[in-house]
Amino acid sequence: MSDMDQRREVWDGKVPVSFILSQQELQQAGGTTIPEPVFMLLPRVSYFPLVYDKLVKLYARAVSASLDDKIWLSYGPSPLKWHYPVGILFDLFARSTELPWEITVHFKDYPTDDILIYEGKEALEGHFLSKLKEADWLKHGAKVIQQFTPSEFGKLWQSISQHHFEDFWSVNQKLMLNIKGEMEPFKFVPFSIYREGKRLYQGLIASQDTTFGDVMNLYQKEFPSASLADHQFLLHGIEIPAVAHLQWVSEHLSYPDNFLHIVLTRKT
Amino acid sequence: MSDGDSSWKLHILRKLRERNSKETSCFKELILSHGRLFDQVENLKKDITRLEYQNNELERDLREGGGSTGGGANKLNKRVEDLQERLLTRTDEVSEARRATADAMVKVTELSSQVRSKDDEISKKETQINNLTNVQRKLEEKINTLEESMKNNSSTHSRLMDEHSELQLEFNSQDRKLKDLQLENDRLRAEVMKMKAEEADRMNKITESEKAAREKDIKKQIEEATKPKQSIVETKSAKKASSPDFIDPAAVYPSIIPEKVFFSTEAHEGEISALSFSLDGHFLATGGADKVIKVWRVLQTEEKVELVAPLHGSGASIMSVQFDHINKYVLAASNDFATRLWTLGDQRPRHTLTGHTAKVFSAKFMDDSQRVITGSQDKTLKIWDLKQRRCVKTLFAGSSCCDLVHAHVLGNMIISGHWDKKIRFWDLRVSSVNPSHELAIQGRVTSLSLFPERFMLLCSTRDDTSLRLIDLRQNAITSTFSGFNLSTDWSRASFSPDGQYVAVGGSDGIIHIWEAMTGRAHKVKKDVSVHNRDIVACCWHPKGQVFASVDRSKKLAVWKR
Repeated sequence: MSDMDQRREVWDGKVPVSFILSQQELQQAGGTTIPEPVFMLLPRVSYFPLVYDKLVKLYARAVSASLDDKIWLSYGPSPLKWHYPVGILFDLFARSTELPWEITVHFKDYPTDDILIYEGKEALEGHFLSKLKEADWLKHGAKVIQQFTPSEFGKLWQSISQHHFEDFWSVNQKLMLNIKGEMEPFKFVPFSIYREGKRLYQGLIASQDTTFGDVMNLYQKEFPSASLADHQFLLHGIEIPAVAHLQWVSEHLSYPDNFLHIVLTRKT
Repeated sequence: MSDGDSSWKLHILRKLRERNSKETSCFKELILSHGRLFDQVENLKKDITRLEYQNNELERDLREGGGSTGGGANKLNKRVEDLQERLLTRTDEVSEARRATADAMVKVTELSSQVRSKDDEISKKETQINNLTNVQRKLEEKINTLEESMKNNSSTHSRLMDEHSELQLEFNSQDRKLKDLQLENDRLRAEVMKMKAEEADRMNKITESEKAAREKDIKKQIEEATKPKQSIVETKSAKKASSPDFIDPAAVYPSIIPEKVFFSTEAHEGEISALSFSLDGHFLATGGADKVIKVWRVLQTEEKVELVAPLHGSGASIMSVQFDHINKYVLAASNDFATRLWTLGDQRPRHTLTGHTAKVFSAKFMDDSQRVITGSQDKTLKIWDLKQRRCVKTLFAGSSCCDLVHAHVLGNMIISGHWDKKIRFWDLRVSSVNPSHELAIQGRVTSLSLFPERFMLLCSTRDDTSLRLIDLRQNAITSTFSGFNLSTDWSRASFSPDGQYVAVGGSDGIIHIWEAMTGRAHKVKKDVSVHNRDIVACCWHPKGQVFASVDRSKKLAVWKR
């Protein structure tokens, strides 16, 4: 099916990132040799914690970080929320930056006010699964996900951490159908809208006979004071035509947690 | 699907591809190669370190193996390398073992510290246990003592309970007794009340009858008064007649031997045991088992005897009776343990002298009539003062006293006769409580009679029945008269006023008279007597011309020559 192409392109979307160690922390630790920056291509649908192990291995010794020191990332002054997919963070902060995206690695002074404390990969998996369940609750009243076996959950998370497209869709396909395994419009389309410096917005919108434009209108209606003339709604870094059927968009362009994470940002 | 649909889908696809080419593709190769190079650098760094190490090793080996050369050296080097390698492995092993040992040591110290702490805990627990055992022992001891005390208490309790039940039983029996006694008491009280009522009735009757008698007397006097002439004559004649009645104490009147009864009556309602004339001879008193004393007026010249009055008030039989020297009082001893005094004028009891604990057999006035002496079955004599109305002296005789006399002729002396066959003499001038002397007699003394002018004492005895005359100056028996029997222990014998005769009444009803000096016997024959038997007492009128006798069958007889 040709529509799989869009899914494929979404899945394959990656951003080049160069990780550099925080100079400040290096000086504090008395390090003399400056470690080389590390360049990586990170999938937009992936999460930063999945590369934390590599970063810790490379840089922790340089700042002599102890086990208690938790790694965290920032772009410029903004700490990056570890539970957001990489694509959202890139679209939010680094849309107009020069590539590769330069991200600073920190081990000290964890900004507990801005980002959640990172308790390990299990926390990330838990967060991902809870988002998945929330999405299915909106779509099918959480009936489909209730029938998932532990091994299916395990396979789903493994396919994300290993970035395996076929494994992911072999499981995720079920969430696109109703409980009887039939094609059926979702009750509501799970989506959330991010805007820099604002709280994220989630609303209820039915999938039947609605378009992506309806989502934008809903946001406009919710925040009438927001002047959106010079703004654009980005999904996976691109503008979606307003006429696109919302049901189709949800089925094909959702992040792995089955949400449409839309970033509202100023036009460049 | 419409073309419109496909167009936006394709648009999306194109955009996505555009994006990917812009963001991903241009960096893809670069980053991949970077990654490869990065890895290579890392590997090379590792190789360099390893090679440096090897180089160092080799250099050291070379320095050590300095002189040796050629193939042998090579071989040796190889061997040395081998050995070094082995040494290294051994060193590694050793260090490993050391580490393990260190770990073990750490563990051991940990464990030993644990052991120490456990030991400490154990010792603590032991001390605790010791304390607790001590406490337990103490508690056990306490329990033991408590149990013991409880046992003691229970035994005491049971003993007390036993005692209590015993006392309860006793109490019950005593209570029963008390109830019985109360019943008895009630009964007795009722009886006493009844008797008192009877007594009162009787007294009332007596008073009434007395009143009636007095009224009659008055009537008679009035009648007599209506015949003045006759009365005057009579008074004159009475005066004439009565002139010889006055007794001159100095004169001695010849006594008679009684021959004829001129008056006799059934004087009492029971046996008569007491008989006495007044000192002036105007009155005669009798007393008996009916508890009444009767006073009789003796009209000697007219040969008449009249009843003056009965004296009531005694609680039992009258045992002796006597007038005082002015005829004011009548003294009587009674079986109810008391001695009483009546005034003759109003015939009322005046004094009751109580103190004897048995029958009073005899009561006599002393000279001045201010004192009374009594003899009793309780083996004592008592002296009573009538002014103080109390006993002033008690003499312990040691035997029942049946009769006693006051012998002023011998000084102030009391002579008492006793059932232990002795006559005792008590001198009141000495304060001794013992008799001044005693006189033994063969037989129980029933009566004493004194003839003071000749210091002679007459005593009658029972068992060895006889009359004996005792000369008080010689303190010896001078003569004995026998040949009769006495019917009672209180039969009274008597001297005649002139001392000529002695008389006693026998149980055969005969009055026996002897001449005191010669011992000649005179028997008053039974055929002239009114006594059939059991004469108790007899005596002469103070003038000696009249004789009286009483017996157990209620009879009083008054005699003349």
